[in-house]
Amino acid sequence: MIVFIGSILAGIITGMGMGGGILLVPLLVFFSDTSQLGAQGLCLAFSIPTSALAAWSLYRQKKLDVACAKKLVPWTLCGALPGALLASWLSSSVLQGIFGLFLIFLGGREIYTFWQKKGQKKS
Amino acid sequence: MNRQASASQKGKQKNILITGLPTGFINGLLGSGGGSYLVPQLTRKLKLEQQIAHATSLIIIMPTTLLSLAVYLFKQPLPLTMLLYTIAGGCIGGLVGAKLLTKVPGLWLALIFGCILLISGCRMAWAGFFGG
Repeated sequence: MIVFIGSILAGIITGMGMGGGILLVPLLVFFSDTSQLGAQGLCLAFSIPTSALAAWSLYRQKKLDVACAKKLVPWTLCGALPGALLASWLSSSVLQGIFGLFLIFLGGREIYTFWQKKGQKKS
Repeated sequence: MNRQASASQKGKQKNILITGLPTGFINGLLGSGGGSYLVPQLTRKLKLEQQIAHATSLIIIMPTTLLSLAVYLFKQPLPLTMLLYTIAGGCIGGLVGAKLLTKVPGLWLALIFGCILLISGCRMAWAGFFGG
């Protein structure tokens, strides 16, 4: 049940374009018995239908730069292969630690942009 | 003239490389978060508009995600019931979020979101490196 409510929250944040999918992993690891890799895999599987939906509606609004995407996809694939192999090779706790550091970085960045934009509004 | 053009071509190629490779690597290693590197890169290095960058990041992430997922599945099957719950919740939330987008001040949401990330990040890093 907590997972379900949390997914709604994650969905809201994703819908607002802030990458809420990343919240799913700590949610699953702390509030269910899913392993780190399992949670990450689930997050991947989760993002395919949700981003497909969003991409489709944006495609109809002509908000996509397809040429740019075509240039980038081969490189993201080249990066994804070693990344995913490393993830399945690392131990669950080390992977969890790395994930935590990445979250701290993202959270810090989010708060930093908050202060920046708040300052802009005042001046 | 010609030389300049080829230099800028090289610069572009380099930008595509330093945008694409880490995005894929983060996506593969952490299962998510590739987009949070990709979108700022698209706007800063490849000069896309914010909205277009966001939309384009979605279609770049999709094939990348499929590849990462395929690699994961060799090691571990997916927890299917959990997946159904999260997808159902995510779809409901996604619809609500898209509607809220114009009504809630995004600035404060960014702060709250940032704090949640920071707290869960600390907890995960601690549990991962020091906990059992």
